[in-house]
Amino acid sequence: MKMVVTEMEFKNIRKLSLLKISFSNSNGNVYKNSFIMMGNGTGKTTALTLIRGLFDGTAETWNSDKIRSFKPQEGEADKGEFSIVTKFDERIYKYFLKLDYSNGTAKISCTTAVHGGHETSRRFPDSVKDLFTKEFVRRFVFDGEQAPKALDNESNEAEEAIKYLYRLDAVDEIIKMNERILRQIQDSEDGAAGTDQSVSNLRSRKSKVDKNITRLEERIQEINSLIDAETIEMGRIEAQVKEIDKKFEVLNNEKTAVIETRASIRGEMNECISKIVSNIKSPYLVNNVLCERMKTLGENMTRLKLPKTISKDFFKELAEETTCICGRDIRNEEKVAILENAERYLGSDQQSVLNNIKSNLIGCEYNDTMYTLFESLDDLDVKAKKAEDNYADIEDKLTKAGGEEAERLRNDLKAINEHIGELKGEKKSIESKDDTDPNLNEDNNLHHAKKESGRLENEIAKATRTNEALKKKKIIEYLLNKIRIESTVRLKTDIIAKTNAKLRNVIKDDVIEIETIDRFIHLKGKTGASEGQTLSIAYCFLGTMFEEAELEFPFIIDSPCGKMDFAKRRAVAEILPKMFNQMISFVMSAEVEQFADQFYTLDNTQFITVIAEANQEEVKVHTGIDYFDTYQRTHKEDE
Amino acid sequence: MRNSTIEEVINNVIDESEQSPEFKAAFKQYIKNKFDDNADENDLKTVLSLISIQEETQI
Repeated sequence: MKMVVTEMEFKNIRKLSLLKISFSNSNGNVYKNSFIMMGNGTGKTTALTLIRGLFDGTAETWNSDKIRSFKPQEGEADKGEFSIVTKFDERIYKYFLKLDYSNGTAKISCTTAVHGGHETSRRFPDSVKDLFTKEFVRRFVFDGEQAPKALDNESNEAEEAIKYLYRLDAVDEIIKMNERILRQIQDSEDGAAGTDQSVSNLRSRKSKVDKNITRLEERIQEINSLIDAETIEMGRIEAQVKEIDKKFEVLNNEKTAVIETRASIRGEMNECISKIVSNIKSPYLVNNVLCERMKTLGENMTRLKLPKTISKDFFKELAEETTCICGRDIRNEEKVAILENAERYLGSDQQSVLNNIKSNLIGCEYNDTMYTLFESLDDLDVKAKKAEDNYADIEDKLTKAGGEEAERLRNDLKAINEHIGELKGEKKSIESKDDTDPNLNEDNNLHHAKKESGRLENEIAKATRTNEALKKKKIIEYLLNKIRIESTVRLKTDIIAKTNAKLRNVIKDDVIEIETIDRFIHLKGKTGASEGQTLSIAYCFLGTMFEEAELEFPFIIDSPCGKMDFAKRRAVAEILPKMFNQMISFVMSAEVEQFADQFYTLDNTQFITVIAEANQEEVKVHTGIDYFDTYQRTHKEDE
Repeated sequence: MRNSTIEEVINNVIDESEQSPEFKAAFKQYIKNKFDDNADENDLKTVLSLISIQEETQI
């Protein structure tokens, strides 16, 4: 099936009071490439939003503020309308999005001769009716600036897109039809054979087991999606932690340095205080005046005496000597004098203490040791306060830099990791084929449920005497399942190989390859790509997906070039027309050079320039290369 | 049908089965028609009628 867009019409939507764009030539054939140049603020992004909202049906869920944001600033219009005419093969469907600015509501409707005229909601041909989801519409109504988001998909939409685009859902439809046919045969045989309640019981049991199978298969899908989403979330958090740790590392080094400085200052202060305490035993060092006073006190103390107990024998022995300690002779006269006068020099036994004090007082000599120590202590105290301030400052910076946040994120990572482990455990249990595990049964294990469903199916066939019909059904089912599985594997391999071949032509300054499509795209040996590269990957992947699909879609794109360099622009301009049956590209003036201008020489291409001013009622539409090219040259600097 | 990969898989898988040439041809055509939205339930019933079942038929 081939889908093309033949017309779009805007009525009373922002600056577009009335704009109708036809994508068909005078012969009624659709242009392969259409370029619509709209200046900044004219309605390029609005157009893409409306197309998406209309095709995926989300417009009806927009809130009133969003709906009213489409209201023209000028004029009194309280209603707006956007419509698209499409053809699915030769069947025409016209879709309307009616915006009521007064009520803030949006309503989608559709007219088609196929279903007998006007429909109150969106209608699509049966073969594509399940396809127009938000994710899928985003694939062919593409915003270049959103390319990274389109590739970094958390759902299994890439696989779903392959299933529908390549019509593998047709295989599922045959399997269901096959089941219906068997049931019809069994119902007719059942009636003919007049079988009793037991068949009904068997069917009811099989139905219950089949529901279990569906539930368990859905749970596995859900677990896969959860694991993918949580793995992506883990990657995101890990990157955040890494980023925080970078800041944290610098600040942490500063913090360590401050702690070391603080400890060193404290050490010096302790040493200084020890010296002061030690020197305080010599109070004369505290102050010069005190020192002088202490000296005077010593000098004023009474004459020194010797302690009587230990010193009286000294005088006796001295009197017996022939020579005095002063060198003079000791005769009898001197001997008597020594013994008689000894008492004058002998005092109590505490005399030695007083002697010491006096001696110390007289020996007081002031110096600036204590003064210097106190000055040093003051300096160290200032330094210590400064170090404390620095420490508090760094602690504050650490908190602001996310030191605590990093800790919280690490806890989150741990929790996610544990949850992923639980999910993997649950999946393993559902998918286990261990017949000996007593905990597994048809309620919690796919293998057991399928075995029981098969057994009941055989019982029903036996009871209704339709064994042959059952065997035929199983043959068809087996072949179809094999076709679906092998096709999916082959298609993925083909898509990867063809996308990579395109990428080699588009990205020549780096090696970018898709490794797998496991629900979403994984790049080989890379965790990410630049903006230009990501856009190139998106084009090559989407182009390949659509190129050989059973269903052909238009490619409607806003901002096709983004931050692509000229070489990539030229390469993409060369491959895009080959990949889509119709391309509608909304471009800015700056995107013409080396992209839109590459299509100037191609046939079957139209160039439209739309000029809409808020203060002008009429929207001016110019067709043709000349106006398009001149306009882009004169306006590209504006953007 | 447009996609040659899927067409090739359909041909290979059905050709490898131990069914009659009539069944193989009819089933291949039926699936391809289904991909083109051009097959109904009666066509499948016809395909089913071409399967020959023997006691030892391997499913």
